[in-house]
Amino acid sequence: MEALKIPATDLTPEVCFDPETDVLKISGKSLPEDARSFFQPLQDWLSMYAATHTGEINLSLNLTYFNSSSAKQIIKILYLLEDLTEKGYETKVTWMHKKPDTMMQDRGEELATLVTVPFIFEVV
Amino acid sequence: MTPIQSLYKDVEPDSLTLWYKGIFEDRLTEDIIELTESGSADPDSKKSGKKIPFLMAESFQNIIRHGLKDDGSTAIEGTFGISNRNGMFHIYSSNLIPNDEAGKIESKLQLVNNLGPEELKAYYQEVLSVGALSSKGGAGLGLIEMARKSGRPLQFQFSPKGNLTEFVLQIDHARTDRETDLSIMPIQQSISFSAKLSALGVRMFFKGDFKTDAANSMLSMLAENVNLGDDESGLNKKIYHSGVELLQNISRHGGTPDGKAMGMFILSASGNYVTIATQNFSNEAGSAKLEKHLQEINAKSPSELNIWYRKKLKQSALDDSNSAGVGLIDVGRLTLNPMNFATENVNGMVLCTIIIRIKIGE
Repeated sequence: MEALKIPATDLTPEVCFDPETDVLKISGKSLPEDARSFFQPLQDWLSMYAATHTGEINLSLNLTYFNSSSAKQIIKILYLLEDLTEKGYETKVTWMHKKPDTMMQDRGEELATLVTVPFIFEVV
Repeated sequence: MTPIQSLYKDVEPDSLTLWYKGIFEDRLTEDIIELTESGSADPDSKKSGKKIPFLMAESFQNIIRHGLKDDGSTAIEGTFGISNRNGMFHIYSSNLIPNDEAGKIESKLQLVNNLGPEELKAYYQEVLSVGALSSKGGAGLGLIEMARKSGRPLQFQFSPKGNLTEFVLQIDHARTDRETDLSIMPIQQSISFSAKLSALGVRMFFKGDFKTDAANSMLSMLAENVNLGDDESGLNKKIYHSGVELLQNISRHGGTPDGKAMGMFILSASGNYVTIATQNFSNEAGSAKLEKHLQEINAKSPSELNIWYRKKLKQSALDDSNSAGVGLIDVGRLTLNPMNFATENVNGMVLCTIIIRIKIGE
């Protein structure tokens, strides 16, 4: 399976999904108006990755900003992880934020209350 | 009608209006030029080719070269405005300069305004070859180029402001060279609109077509305007997020029968509040739906809004549409209650205004 690597733009985050190292990371800001088009390939890739992967799935989210359309797509990814947990996978989300970025910390804590996937908070 | 709502009347004939008041940086120049190119609702505006971006860049250079802050420090503050009124572009700049600069700049302006096209060309070559650089790094070439490219006299005004002088310059340029009979807006009219914006604390004002490219340039300008660096209070991000959601609300829902998404976006800071106002056109049904949604948001307490937002966001993941439908609820969570909403009938369409406020100090 090939890695999914997308460089950041003014409106979309950097994506590094690497099946060799099992690093699954989304970083930067996400505010495209059509967030669905951007995130759909990520959701498809994760489903395919899970189909052949054994062991823990750890998604790292290091977002500095996301708009409401992106929030919907992030929840979709979290639901996908939740489904995988129900199928017996061990999953977790590492939510990264800068220390003074209280809004991103709050947003991470809020997302964590909406799903059963465990969140680990890391100050970067 | 609130003062912000009434600004629409001042720019009603414009297919594009853009004003910025604040610090001038290179990135901003790029954003504003991009926005002007993408955001105009006038299909013929591109006929001016590179002349408008060139004149805008010269106008920015003029602010950066001569601008001073009130207290004489080095961060360059000024005002920039551009409008396309019935095919005539008006490029406006205003900045503070030392008193002793005023006389020198004024004589150069008078000189270039008195020269015809051929004389300007000869004068340009003469200055270029002599290379008589002024102490501010300009050789007067900028003003000569502005006059050559605009093909019209440069409008200007100098007025005392404290112990400095305010230098206002307006370049007028028709979108095509063939259009010689278009009326030119007097500089006084621009000065009075600029003063109105200043009185309201307006930092960014945009009226135009909010199709995707224009909205993206606005987002970039907004990010520049709101310092998103170390932001312990989270205030700047609240302002930014509210701006993003309201801007995308216009490009998503705003519509006119000609297929454009004409709208206005105004960011202002006054006293202890930042205000963001947006205006867009809708039909009766769309406007009634928006009003009901905002009334529901305004009727809820902060904790009720949190519950509603989370419930709706979770539900949204179950459908395939692009929008989460939680943007305005989220803005309601971050801003002061109520979010104001007003409508006005304009040419058979409903002009919807949303005004939100964020408290930034005690």
